[in-house]
Amino acid sequence: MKDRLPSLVAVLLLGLLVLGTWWASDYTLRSIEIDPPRRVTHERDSWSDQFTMVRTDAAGHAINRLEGAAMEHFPDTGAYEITAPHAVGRQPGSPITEGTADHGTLDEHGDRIVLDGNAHLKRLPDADHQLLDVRSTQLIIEPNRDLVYTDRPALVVNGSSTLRGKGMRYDNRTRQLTVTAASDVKISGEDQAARNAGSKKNERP
Amino acid sequence: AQGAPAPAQDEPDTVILSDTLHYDDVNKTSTFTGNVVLTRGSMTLRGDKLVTREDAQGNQFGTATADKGRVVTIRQENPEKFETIIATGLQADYAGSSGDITLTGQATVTRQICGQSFDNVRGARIIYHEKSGTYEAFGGQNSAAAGGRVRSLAQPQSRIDQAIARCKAKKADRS
Repeated sequence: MKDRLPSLVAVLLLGLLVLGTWWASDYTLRSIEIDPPRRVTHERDSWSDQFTMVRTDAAGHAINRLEGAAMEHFPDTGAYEITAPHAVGRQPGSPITEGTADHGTLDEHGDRIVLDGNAHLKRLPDADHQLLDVRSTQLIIEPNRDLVYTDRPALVVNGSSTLRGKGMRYDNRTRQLTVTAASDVKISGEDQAARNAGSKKNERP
Repeated sequence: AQGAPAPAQDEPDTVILSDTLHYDDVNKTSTFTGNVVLTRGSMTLRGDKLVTREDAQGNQFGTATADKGRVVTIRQENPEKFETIIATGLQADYAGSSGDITLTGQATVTRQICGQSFDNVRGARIIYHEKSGTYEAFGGQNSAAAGGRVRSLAQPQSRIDQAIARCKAKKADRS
């Protein structure tokens, strides 16, 4: 037993050494943050001036374009705050829409743009339709669904006809417009007369 | 040489107030619901729902309906003649191409002079031909007159003229 004592002591010391090394490395890992968690405060972590952001569809066609005088990204909200935004929607098969405002917020992973202050949306005219012009203090655009809505008072101008209401929703894909309260529509006599004159001209042999 | 195109006739604006609106830009139809008030020149229409559409030629068509227990009311003012035409019915249809207004269900048309009722027509369906200024009334089920018939009351013109004269006198006093 006596002659085995030195080897036992050596094994014991070796074991202690291994344990000590493991504890030391573990302690080191725990005490020093190698990769500190992202700073989640309302301080911008990326920004740019006079930017242009273009999004394409699977086929590579540009379907949304967002420009602005300045953009700031905030880690806590994950939103982009944009000065003087100018959003263009060009979904295949739908008329082009253009939205502008004093200020914009792009959030929900780019699925929503909130236009605040002099919010103005235009659905550009095409062969069949006149310009559709929507104004409000706030307009919310969902570019992927080609949808615009607001719960504020809004004014829509279509040719010389006007439509006022509180709470409005326009789906550019199905081209359906809904006013949820206090609808006030003025169908212009000019538009009516021009349409009638146009149709009578077509009827003439 | 080809003459200049005829200038667009002067059409009055149409103003429509309602609680809600749904506009279908593809089919060019608008559905107004809730306290609907349509004003066009001197005509005012009140109902609970109004659906308007436009045909390929640009003519406007409209159908106004009323909720249960209520009626659609149309008022046409004619200040020069001191005359007001009041038409009511469960449904009113306007055809822009012909300018006709058709009242269906408990239909009545009343002519008032200075607020006093004179002529009156009741029936199941009454058509007012705007261009010729004439009416057609039909009996049938849901007539506003007894027995599903048409009932027409026409006062002598002399009485109407007297009422107009009284009106003018009253107006002259006031001014």
